Amino acid sequence: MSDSPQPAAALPRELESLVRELYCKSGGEKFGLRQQEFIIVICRIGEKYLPAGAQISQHRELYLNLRVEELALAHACACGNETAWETFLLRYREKLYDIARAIAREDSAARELADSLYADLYGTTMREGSRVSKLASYTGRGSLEGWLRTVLAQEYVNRYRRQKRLVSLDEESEAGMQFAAADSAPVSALDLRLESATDEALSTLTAEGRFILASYYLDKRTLAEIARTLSVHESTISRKLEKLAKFLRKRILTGLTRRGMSRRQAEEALEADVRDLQIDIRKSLAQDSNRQPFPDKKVQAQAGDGSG
Amino acid sequence: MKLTKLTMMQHLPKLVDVLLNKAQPATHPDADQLTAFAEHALTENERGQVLEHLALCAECREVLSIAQVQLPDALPIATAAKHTWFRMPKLRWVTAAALVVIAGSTAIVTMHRKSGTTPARAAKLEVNSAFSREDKLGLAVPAPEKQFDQLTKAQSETVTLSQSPRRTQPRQEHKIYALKAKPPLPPTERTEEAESESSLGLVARTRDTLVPPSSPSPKNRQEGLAPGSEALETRSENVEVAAAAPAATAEVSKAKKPVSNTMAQADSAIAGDTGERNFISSLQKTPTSHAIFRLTKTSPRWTISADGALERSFDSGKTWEKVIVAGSTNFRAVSAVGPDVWAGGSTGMLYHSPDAGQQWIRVQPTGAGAALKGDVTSVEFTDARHGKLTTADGEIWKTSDAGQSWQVLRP
Repeated sequence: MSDSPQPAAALPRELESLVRELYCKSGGEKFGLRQQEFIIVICRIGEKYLPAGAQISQHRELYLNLRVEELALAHACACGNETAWETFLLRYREKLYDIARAIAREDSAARELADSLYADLYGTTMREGSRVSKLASYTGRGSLEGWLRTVLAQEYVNRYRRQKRLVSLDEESEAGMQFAAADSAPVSALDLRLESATDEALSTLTAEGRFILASYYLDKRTLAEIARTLSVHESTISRKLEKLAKFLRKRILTGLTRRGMSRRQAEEALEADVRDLQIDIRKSLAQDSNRQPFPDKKVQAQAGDGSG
Repeated sequence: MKLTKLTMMQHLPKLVDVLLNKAQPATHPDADQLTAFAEHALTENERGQVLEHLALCAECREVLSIAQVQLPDALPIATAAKHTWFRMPKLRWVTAAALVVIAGSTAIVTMHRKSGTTPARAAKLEVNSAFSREDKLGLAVPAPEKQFDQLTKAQSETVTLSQSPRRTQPRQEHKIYALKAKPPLPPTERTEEAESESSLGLVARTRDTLVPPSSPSPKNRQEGLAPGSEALETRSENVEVAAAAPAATAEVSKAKKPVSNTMAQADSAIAGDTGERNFISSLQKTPTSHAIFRLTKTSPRWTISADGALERSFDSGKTWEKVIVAGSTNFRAVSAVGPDVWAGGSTGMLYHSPDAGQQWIRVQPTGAGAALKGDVTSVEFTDARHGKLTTADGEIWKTSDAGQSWQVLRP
């Protein structure tokens, strides 16, 4: 398909038959995707998501869960195969506009959003003399439709941010910014014991718990929206929120009494305005902040896809 | 307790709000990882990492939430179901009362007939009940009133209502069914094929209930037809109504009198018949039911043939055409909701068509780190997004997002 395929990355011998099998399953042949190219794509995915020196079983698990059919289609499109593009347009064209319409909630904006993504998918930018299609960054971890949704959402957020930056200071003033109350500077800590107890309680929450709290309170998402994101029923989220609140209260009270407060003092302290608290949330919420769980943005930029 | 909970609930967001603003991570998961997270396709370890990130990163939470936006359904079936006029409590009660009245009057008439009613009167009742049954089966039905008139005139003669001179295909020649006066269509009249299909939980075919008139059911042969009973033989395009005199048998078909009749006439006759039909016709006049009737006309019926091929019918089951999905897939179950069709078969084969079978997309459900491998024995979709499938191994796979993600329940 491409004129000069890059040399195949080192694929462990134990995985050769598996990858060959995946290639057959992917149907890449009908889109002109050669086996060698498919192996390169698979190896890149392995390098991206698996730690160096990962075991064969980890490779196997990752590759078996890939959506190889959609992966082959996306990469064939990225390479400019016409049959692949016909198939892609047939399957996703209408869907893409529907998703854009659902996101932008306005026809012209939706069309603009979808068209800009089409341009990226087709590859309007050139790198080293060849087109760079955004589809090349699809790795088949999730469905292609889901990936298109996410990429559209990222594009939408980026556009919003760009537009927001374009708003002049005058416009902001006209909008009433000058009357906005100044952020109250954090008052000195009421009681260090309360801060440390709250800090400690937050750090004991699970990642999911912190995600739910942040989504509900900080982002003002509805229970249904959080539930959809986590693929659970909204009553589950409601129950979890209630449990989280009870748990936090209990942990903070326990922490305060352990720090020498009486029960009554602890309950009174809980009523304090939390805006007065000085707690390092990064330390509290990020349980493992030293490690970088995701590849650096620089690496992603090279791959040619957006990031959240 | 409620007060304290409320206080706590109000305090927490401020705390998170103040402090989260300081904690924006430098690196982000890519679109693939966010998609896989939303579709439950990540490993536990990766899912934990993404959740950790999401707890801190408002931007990624925003993207994820926007990406999960629900698409409006392609067909207005949901809108039709949500139409409010029929949901009014009064109308529901009226409908229920009407049904009770119909059931009651049927019971009374049946009792009268048992106690000694004229054969002609009984024939009218049976024709009506036969058409009610036909309507439930979704078959093309002739006009019962006209048939009954002919029936009473002919007195033991057979009346043939020809809708069009065009002959049906050879396969349709078998689409003839016999309805006994009482009891109503015994289950023994179902063909073996129909029984085997129903045991697999497949979509019922129209032809399942059809028995050629030349080979009456064993029960009919043994008993013959009792005095006062009638046999109704109907083809998809040619309808024969036989009314037996008290001493006559159902097999008697002396003189056939062709009567031209069109589908439109049949429809109008149906609408003008019994109370139940009046109710149906009144439903047909409403916008809601218009939408539903239009849908039933445009959406094909689906079934699996005995050799595992997918078939569809655009004419309420009169003719079936094979649908080529993949090379040599042996299908075992199909489910259709509007234009969305899901077909499952051997070795984890699952295909989805969003456009009534024009295009097919292979779906490979994965859940709990494993892919669907077993033979799919049943597929059930309640709407365009929610559905489940069962495998021969007893696994149950559920989706609530039109097959994008799956939860597996293993035995």
